[in-house]
Amino acid sequence: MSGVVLVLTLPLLAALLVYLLRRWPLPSSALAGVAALTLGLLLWRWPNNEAVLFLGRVVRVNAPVVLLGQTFAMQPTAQWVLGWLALALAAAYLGAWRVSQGRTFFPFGLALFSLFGAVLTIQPAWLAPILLAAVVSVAAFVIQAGRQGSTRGAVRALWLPVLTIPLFLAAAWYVDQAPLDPESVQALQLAGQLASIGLLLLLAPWPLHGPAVSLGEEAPPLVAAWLLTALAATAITLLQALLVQYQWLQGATLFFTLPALRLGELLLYGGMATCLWAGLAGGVQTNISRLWSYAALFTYGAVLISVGLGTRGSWALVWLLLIARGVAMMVSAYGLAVLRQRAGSQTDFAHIQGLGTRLPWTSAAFLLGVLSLAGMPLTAGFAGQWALMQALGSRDWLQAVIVLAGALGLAVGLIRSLSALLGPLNNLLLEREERIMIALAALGLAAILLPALYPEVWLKPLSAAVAAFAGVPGGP
Amino acid sequence: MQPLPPFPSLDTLFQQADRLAGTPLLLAISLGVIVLTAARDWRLVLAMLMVVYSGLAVLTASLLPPQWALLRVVVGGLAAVIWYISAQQAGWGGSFLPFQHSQGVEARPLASTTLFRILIALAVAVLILTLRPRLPLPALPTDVRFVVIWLGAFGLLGLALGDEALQAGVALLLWLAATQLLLAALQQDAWLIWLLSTVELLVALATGYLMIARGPLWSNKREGSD
Repeated sequence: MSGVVLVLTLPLLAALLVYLLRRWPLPSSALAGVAALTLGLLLWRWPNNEAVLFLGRVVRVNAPVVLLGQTFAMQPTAQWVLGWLALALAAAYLGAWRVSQGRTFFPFGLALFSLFGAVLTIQPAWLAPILLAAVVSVAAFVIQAGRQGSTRGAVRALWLPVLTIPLFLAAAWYVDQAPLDPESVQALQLAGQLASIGLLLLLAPWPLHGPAVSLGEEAPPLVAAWLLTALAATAITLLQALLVQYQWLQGATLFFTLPALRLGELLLYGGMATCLWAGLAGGVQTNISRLWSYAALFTYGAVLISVGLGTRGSWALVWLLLIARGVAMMVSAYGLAVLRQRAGSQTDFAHIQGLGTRLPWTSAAFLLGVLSLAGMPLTAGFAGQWALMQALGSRDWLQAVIVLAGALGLAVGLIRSLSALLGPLNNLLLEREERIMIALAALGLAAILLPALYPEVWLKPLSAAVAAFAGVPGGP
Repeated sequence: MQPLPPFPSLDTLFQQADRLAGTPLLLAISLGVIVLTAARDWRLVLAMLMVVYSGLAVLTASLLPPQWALLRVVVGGLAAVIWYISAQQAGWGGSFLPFQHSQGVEARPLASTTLFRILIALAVAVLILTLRPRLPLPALPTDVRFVVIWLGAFGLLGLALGDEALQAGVALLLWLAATQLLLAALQQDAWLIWLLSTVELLVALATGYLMIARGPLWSNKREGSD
């Protein structure tokens, strides 16, 4: 049996069971969490190219399988990323167990994981945007989560994946045409151009960041944290898959008239603009949901910069930043979800004023998570940001200053949020945190602080990431 | 009483419809797309969606077997049904664009005024018609190339004109319809056509759900911090 079949079917079966149990929150959340955790651990433990025994059946993870006329095969990178997404989903479920993120999140999360599995394993990778469009269409239901009113977050999430579809399909057609005229390089140039524009839309640096910010603002926080993590990881993995499969894509220009305008440069400078914009916008927000959304965007900008750097060591840095971002987003999203729930679904400063005095652990989880997203010292996000600063500083100190300015902007936003959270309490009848909520917040705080105090914990996942990306060229 | 004549086969139907091919068909699709982008009445939008998808079916019949061309009408029809039910569920009246309230004063965003939308749509139409001889995608037949560019441009314009679920859904379907036409002209892959049609229906379903979540748009009391 192929590993792809397990990734596509097991979460769907679990989703069905979870849906049937939806009236009982504890069993349904426990089943969803166990299913995601099991998938994550199995995907991280199983070797990619050897047979393993699972429930009495022989499973070969990388065996290709043909479904609905399309070939699916799990490469080591896809296996590693799916394992990471499953573990992140389990963490989101753990938080959602105590703070409702919408009734549909438990079954839909598993179904979405299965769809992400299809996106990451479909061959050739040109077809992945079609499946990604299906993913965001299904995700619209969990982003909106039954909430009445603005639908901007869910609507905008549909934009970019749908827009990239014809670009990738046309690029694939030109690639097929290229061998018909081996003398001419025009077909491959056109394919490179279309694929680069498509990848730029999928990776969405500034000024294409709007959908990600709207999703972060409007979706339930833990749903947003998982979806933003999954979408970023999927886009990066798709870029990597295309670079491995079509090495001529490296250095492809977006416009023939501007040969210097290459994807790598656009990601590098777009990433810097993203960091700066996220910092500036985050610093002036009077709403902690928006601050959180911009903090997540800041780290994503750092990820794009490290992709754009294009060195062989870039992938380790990319994944160090992505993993730290995922951890920080989950922890801060948990804090944000509790604060939002206690403030009556409003997260502007007027409504959250004083909540920190009654919900100190939750507030600490939120604030420390955002600090980690900003890459501040003594948090999980620091190692990645420090490595990025060193890489940028060795090229051009001004580039490092731009990223630092973004981080400082976020710090200003954080101080203003802290001031609001510790201000005079409006609702004197507000109850204190329950013990289980304190335990979950403490777990999150440990996840943020321990990697900073003991950086060697990064070694194992990073070694696995580096091993998975071993055969991958430096960058676009 | 005379017995009913047999219903014409799909081939016959499309052969008859083929008489409309050329300028009348392009005109119907082009005007339909302009109305789709500019109109504020959701019932008019759904009617025009069917006109555009029927036109696309006739155009697709020149590239693919008629059964596959019919799929365009089926997808467009299902999307229209989904949105009709959603509009009914949401309790919409005649118009679908939002009226924003600010301190008791009703203020409409510029992009929601019919005049502005028509002007912008006409400007885009004039631009495409002017650039017609220099349009990209030379590998496509002339008519198909024009319709692909037209649908794609108005799809992007629709997305630029607003965040409302129905507007965005229509714009995304226009973009996907352009993709389907491109695919029909370049590589006739049955699975890809099915896959894209499924995505079209999923987009319609998602935006239909979001229309219900948006609720009646003349009441913005529940609106978040927009």
